[in-house]
Amino acid sequence: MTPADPKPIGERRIGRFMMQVLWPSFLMAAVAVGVFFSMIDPQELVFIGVHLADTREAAYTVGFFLFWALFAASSALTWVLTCGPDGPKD
Amino acid sequence: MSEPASQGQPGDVEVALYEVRKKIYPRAVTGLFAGWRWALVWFTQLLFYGLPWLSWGDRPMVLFDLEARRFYLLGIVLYPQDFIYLTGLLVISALSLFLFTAVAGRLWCGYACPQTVYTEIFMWVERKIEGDRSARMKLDKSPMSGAKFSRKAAKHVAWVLIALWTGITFVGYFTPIRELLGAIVTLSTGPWQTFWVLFYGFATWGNAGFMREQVCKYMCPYARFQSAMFDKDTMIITYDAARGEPRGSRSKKADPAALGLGACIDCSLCVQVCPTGIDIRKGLQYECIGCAACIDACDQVMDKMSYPRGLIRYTTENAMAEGLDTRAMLRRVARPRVLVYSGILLAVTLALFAHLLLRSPIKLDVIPDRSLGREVEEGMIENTYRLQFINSSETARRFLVKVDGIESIFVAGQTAFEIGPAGVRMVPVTVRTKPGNGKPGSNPIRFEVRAEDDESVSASAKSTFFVPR
Ligand code: SF4
Ligand code: SF4
Repeated sequence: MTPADPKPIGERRIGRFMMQVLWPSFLMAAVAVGVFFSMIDPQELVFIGVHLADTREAAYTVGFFLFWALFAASSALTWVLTCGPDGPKD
Repeated sequence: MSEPASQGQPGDVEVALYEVRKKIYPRAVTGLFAGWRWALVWFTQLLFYGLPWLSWGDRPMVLFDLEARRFYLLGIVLYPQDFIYLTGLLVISALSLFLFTAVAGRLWCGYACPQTVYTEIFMWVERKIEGDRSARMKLDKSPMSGAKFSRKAAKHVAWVLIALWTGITFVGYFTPIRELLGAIVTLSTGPWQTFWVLFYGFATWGNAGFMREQVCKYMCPYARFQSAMFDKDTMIITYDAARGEPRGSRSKKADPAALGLGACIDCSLCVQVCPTGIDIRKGLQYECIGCAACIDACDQVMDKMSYPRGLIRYTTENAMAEGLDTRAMLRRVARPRVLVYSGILLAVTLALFAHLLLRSPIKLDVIPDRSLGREVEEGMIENTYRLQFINSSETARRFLVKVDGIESIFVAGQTAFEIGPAGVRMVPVTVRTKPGNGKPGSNPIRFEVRAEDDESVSASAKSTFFVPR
């Protein structure tokens, strides 16, 4: 168990970051991966002559994390630009 | 964050030294709404844990076979091309949420949201092992001992087991669950299956065991915009301040009017049962998830005091202001906002079902070969295509291919193809026309397929036929 920290997680920096950056991008990644792979069969994905996916499951999972990373980068930029790393002054 | 219950019982002052937040220890509650909550826990969870086990013929009733890119739902087979139905389903869910919210606030949050449901289950386990509110608080404050450790360990073992089973069930929607369990028993699950079982299980454990009301407060987008769907006739959980105040303790026999007191005996039970740790008597707060636990608690207090129930109740702003009785309040449910939401919801639902029922069991996609048309024997012009058939019926069928759009155009070579039940097949098809037909460049043509055994089962697709200059 950790020593006292009376602040709820939503008011701490790491908590804010997780909730405002990682969480919304997680939701969007779930949507994006669904739309993307419903239109594109991963086994047809060939990138500079390299066949990308051994199994479709692998492609879905890797695709999900790629989307997540991408959206998280976007959310993180918004986060940095709007509130600065210290969070909003409210 | 509001101050959790500290009035009332002196021994109950909460000093959560070991938590990142003020830990909330909701007290167990029974009553009408608790009964409804549990009924919904049972209903949603029987559905969630049970569905993967049901069969339809010789396959699972519900299976999202991502590896084969087919979704099975009762007797229907859906392909990625049917994504529109998923979109329709999402639209219906959103509209239902709007409708429920307009009528009675956060019904979804209080009764059906997985966050609430799993928290409810996890808290039940916690209560069985660590005891109710005051026992848990005492346990958390006491120094580590063998007894404390074994209780905490037992709780976590139970939580982890539930979470793991939840993760397995989740993956069971994507892999037939009996195969999955077999693979787990022999430790031969694929890496991705293992990963998603653990990922989903971990999320369940963390959200229901630890995050709890913080998910609702800090992470839920719906919580932030639900108030946009409220109006003055939305039923929300409200403390009747006019009746309750001034609050104060009194003996059961005392006449509150003589003491100048309202109906609230200031027992703080409504605060102790609240899973988000708020005091509903301070008015509507965004943290309130509408679980109605405080209604049950207060109704019991009212019964004990022999006061009428409903000091805290579902009511509307208008009903409070105008002193409407329940019937007058319910009559206002049918107001334009609600009627519009219901109308759109009904229309979308009907459209989706009609479309699903009427859709052709065969689908056709045409991919022209990249090479342009060429001249073959006798000056005929030939184009080649790849035709993708999707047979979403559950019987094997023979299909005949025809083509039209240009004079004397015909399919050369094989014109009949056999496709298995719920099968997808890609076949090369050669199309020819006599010289002189069609203009140089591309000409629109149309492919049509028909089942040999049933004329009404057909599909068509457009493409282009290229005539070299
Ligand atoms: S449970 Fe009812 S009587 Fe007790 S404090 Fe709450 S509102 Fe007052
Ligand atoms: S105030 Fe009442 S309805 Fe709202 S979350 Fe707390 S117990 Fe549930």
